[in-house]
Amino acid sequence: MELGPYLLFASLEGLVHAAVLSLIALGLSLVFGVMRIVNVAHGEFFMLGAIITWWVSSFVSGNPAIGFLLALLVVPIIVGMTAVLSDWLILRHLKYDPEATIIATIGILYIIQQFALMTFGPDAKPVEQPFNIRLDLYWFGFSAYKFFVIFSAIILLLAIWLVMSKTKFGLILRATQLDSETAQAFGIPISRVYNIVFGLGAAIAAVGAVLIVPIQQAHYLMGGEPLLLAFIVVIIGGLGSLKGTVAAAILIGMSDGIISVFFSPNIAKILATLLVVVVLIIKPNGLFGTTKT
Amino acid sequence: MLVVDNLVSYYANIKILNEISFNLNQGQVLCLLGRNGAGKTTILKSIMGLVDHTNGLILFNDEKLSGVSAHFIPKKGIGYVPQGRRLFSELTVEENLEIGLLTRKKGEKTKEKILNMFPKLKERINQISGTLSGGEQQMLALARALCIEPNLLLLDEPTEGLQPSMISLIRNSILELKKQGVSILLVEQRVEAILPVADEVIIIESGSKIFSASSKEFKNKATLKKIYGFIGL
Repeated sequence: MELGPYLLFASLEGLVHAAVLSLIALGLSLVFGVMRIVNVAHGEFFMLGAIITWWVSSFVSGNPAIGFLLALLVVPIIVGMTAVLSDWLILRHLKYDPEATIIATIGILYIIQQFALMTFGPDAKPVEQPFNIRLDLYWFGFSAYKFFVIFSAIILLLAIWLVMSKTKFGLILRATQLDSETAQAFGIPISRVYNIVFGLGAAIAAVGAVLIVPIQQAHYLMGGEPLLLAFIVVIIGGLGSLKGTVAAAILIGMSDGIISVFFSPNIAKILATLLVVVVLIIKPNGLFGTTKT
Repeated sequence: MLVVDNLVSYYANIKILNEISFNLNQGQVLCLLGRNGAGKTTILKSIMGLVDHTNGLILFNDEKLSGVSAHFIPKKGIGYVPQGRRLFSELTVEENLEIGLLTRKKGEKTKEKILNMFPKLKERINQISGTLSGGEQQMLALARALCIEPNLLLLDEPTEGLQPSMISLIRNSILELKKQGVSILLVEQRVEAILPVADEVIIIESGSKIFSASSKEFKNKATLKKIYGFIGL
């Protein structure tokens, strides 16, 4: 293949990666932005989403699209409820103290990871693509499902943006993010808001998992790498900035995809980490971050 | 209306307030004076449920506020203008007012009424609140609190950093609210700006109430001198 088409192929692979990464990072950013806690277990909610997708689709025989649609409906709810329960049982008792919640979410990480290992075993679990159509792009063929992943992520990101900017619920989240004490003084029940946001963040990551698992397979150790990349994205984009998170996910996802195709995935990770260092030196609050007063 | 009886408040294990007691009746303005760090803001925060640990009794319209979750308190009709305004600085003027309106589910009519009180805010309705001038920000902080149509308003240093014309606007707003029967608990440092509207003054020092005087008493020069002395003027 010539360089031009090869670059186009790598960019499309990068876009698929960026689409899923933006969903995972958005969940992490939402939790950090509103609750001001670092959720180290976020990657495990993604992994749980992938494993449950395999589990749900293995129940449905026949057309794989039915199992996939069922997973798309059910998995974010199950993972979201798991996160809500974790918050209710653990985090709220720590009064969302930033240091204590890091330790607590490391604990949640291990609980979810070991639960997945003990319940579903150590093997990678394949999930069939809901439709197997190959689009002919003149120079090469490309999976229609991968275009579906990109399209679905864009739709979900637009929906989240609409909710955040145009609804009362979004207004409450933004007010809580800006000043939780004053928000309380205006009747906003912040512990309930935190509970919902923690669940929502995990559910968004789970949607990313449902979308990616027919391409990538589910495995109990698959949460680590997306967590690292999501942290990189959130730091580059600016902690708590949804706009910055999406921009940085496209930057990191695309470069990760392109460099992985042309060179190797390891070089892609090294460069992404170096980019974090450069951004932190030039703009310590990230590309779109603001200093909290 | 508001009864504060033997209020003791702590931040972590540190005692900030020491058995503070006072009453505030409907349509009255009670002013808390004192130096920086005396505990005035903690009194307001304790009433709003924003201090973790308090002892003593706080009653509002015969209902106990002590131990009630902070987010329930504004729903009872208590408006709060925090020190330093504490606007939601990345939200627009309108969105800040919307937060106030959500509190007690007040609608467009209330918003129109408030915007007519502060026409400057109407002109800047879509502006990001953090970009307003200091005086306009204070207006918005007051307007946001008035969106809940409060029966009791807690104002924490509303004239801080404002020019004389804005101070007189805030003072006139307080007088107007007082006429409408709203009770006001006011924390201030600027005695001269506030004494004309106050019905009672309480001096707080190191977390304790050390002096109080009614409006009749502080019109007396000797009492006034005493008040100025207490707050170091």
